[in-house]
Amino acid sequence: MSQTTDFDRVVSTWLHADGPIDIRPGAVDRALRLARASGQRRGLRLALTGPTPWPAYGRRIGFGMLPPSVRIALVLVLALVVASGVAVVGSQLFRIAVPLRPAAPHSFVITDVSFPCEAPTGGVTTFTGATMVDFESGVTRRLLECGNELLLSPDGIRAAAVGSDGLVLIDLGDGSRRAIPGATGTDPEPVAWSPRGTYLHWVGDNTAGRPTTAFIGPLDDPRRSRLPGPDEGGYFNGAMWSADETRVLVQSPSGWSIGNGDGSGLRAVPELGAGLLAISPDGTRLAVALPSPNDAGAALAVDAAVGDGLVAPRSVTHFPDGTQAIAAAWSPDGSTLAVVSTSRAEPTTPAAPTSNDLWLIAPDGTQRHLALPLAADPGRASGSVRWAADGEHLAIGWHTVVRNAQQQEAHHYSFVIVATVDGAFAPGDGWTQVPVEEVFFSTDGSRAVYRAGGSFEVLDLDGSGSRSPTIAQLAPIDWGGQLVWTP
Amino acid sequence: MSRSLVERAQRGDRDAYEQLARDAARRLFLVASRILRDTDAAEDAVQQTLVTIWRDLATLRDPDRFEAWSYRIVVRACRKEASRHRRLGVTVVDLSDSLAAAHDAIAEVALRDQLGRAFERLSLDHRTVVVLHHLVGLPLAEIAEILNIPYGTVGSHLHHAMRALRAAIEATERVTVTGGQPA
Repeated sequence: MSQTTDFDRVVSTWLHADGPIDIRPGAVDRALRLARASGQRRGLRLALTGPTPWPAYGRRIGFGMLPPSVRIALVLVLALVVASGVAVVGSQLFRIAVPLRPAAPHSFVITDVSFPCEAPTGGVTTFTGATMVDFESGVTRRLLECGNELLLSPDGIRAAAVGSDGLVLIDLGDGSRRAIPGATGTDPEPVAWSPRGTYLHWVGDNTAGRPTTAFIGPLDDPRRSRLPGPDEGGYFNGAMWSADETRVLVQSPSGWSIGNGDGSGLRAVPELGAGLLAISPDGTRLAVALPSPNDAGAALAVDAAVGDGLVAPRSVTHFPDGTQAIAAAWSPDGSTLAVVSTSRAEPTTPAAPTSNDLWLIAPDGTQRHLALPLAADPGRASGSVRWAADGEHLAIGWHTVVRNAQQQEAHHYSFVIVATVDGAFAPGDGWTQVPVEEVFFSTDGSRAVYRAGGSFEVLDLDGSGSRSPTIAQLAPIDWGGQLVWTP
Repeated sequence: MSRSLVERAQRGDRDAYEQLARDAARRLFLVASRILRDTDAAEDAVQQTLVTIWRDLATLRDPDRFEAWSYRIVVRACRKEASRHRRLGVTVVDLSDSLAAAHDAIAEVALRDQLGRAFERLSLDHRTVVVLHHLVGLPLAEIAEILNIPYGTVGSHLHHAMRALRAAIEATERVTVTGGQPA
């Protein structure tokens, strides 16, 4: 007998002797009870759900029994899902980890700073750049150095700017920029966004090295509409879109031209004269100031439908002698036309002090009138009126140019916020007057912001009209005059 | 274990199943207790095995393979029990029964003790192969089928396990001869 056999016997003997050889009877009984209970549950489950889909005597299909190609495919799909999950989670963590920088959706101001840059024709010239300042955090970010006229889109997602390489679009999220094809040598002045940011108006350079042609076009489409240039008697005064972007108005020597939102189908509407004030949100009505026959007052005409043809302007109101409408805007829902007017106390005395008024005109011609507590300087005046998105607040800006005895010009700026509730004025607390030129409403209409004395102030419009200067430390800012509240 | 008894149990004869279970319980417990070296854990493993047999007996295609099939189930239950005990941090080494029942010489006691310790140090897979081969008497091919591993792996497990046990025995013999203390 070999050693191995002996040792096997030793181990076998030890295994038999080393430990109990029989299970306790109670353990078997418990096992049988468990088995019966399990069988009862299984029977109940079968009664409720029917027989199992697995073949009773067949082998269950496990992962290891699948064909190799199917297993590999499943593993790849699983890896792809895991990688996607990791990517999503990682991007969220990255966004949290990346330091805060101005980007939508924030409100911000654009400051202009001069930069020496290489000129397109050689040498160095000075461009006016742009810096974006997050309004609420105060974080700044350089957006444009060698360019001019950076203009934020209405949604605050991107900006249009005119640089040495022409008209470019800058993504505010990552700062990337791309040139608009065929828009090199763009004149910086009349760049304008349509209300929803679908179209852009700009003045292009053809081949003579000077701006000769204006364009309107969708941003992501090389097709664009060519507008009349100065050589053809056109002006470069920008464009005025209806809020829904279905109509656009551009100025021409013969008056105004109206066309589709993309600039196509333009035709002159000389009946409007030069007194166009506003276009309704749906693009079907125009507000026009018409001089009265004796030139002492002004009539306001609306309902100049611009569907298939322009109907004759219909006068809806006549202002008192000496009163002239200088700015108008439709409420966001198109139900009310707000008109700002100026008037001379003595129509025949041009140097007499002026008064300023607000008119709220309903479609049926009924109107409400309120005298505005704006500066009543004798001199050349211009104004603007702007509705908040809530349709309850109005900002009226005022700018007068007064000449002194030495014929030197002095510029006076002021504005008021008017709160309207259910069509009625809310004087008293509803009034605020500060010496600023322009006011910007937040998108929800709850706040307004303006620049005063080199810093910014936020006006709380919760009904009280009280001023709450929550932002006062952004000065000194060489403000370029643009501030956008993004959604 | 008669084929007819298994077939009756497969058809749902509860009495046949109970007789089948009681007959199998003893040998299953013997295997489980040697693999786990823990009476309570072995009983739990056997209980789970009997429940599984009751549940899955209908899926057994060849009634003559009932015994091998039951060993496969009990080995699987032993693995679960061992895993559960590891998670709980419980390690039970019970040699009291064998020691109490034995009235062997001191050398034999030392031998059994050393064998037990060496067996403890084996992995569960190695212990399983040793038990199925030297206690139950199954050939390596059948063990490979029960454990669902290659035949060569079974042989390798057995070789390494037996070499470890033999080393323990030789160490004990050296200690007994020299009168020294085991290492």
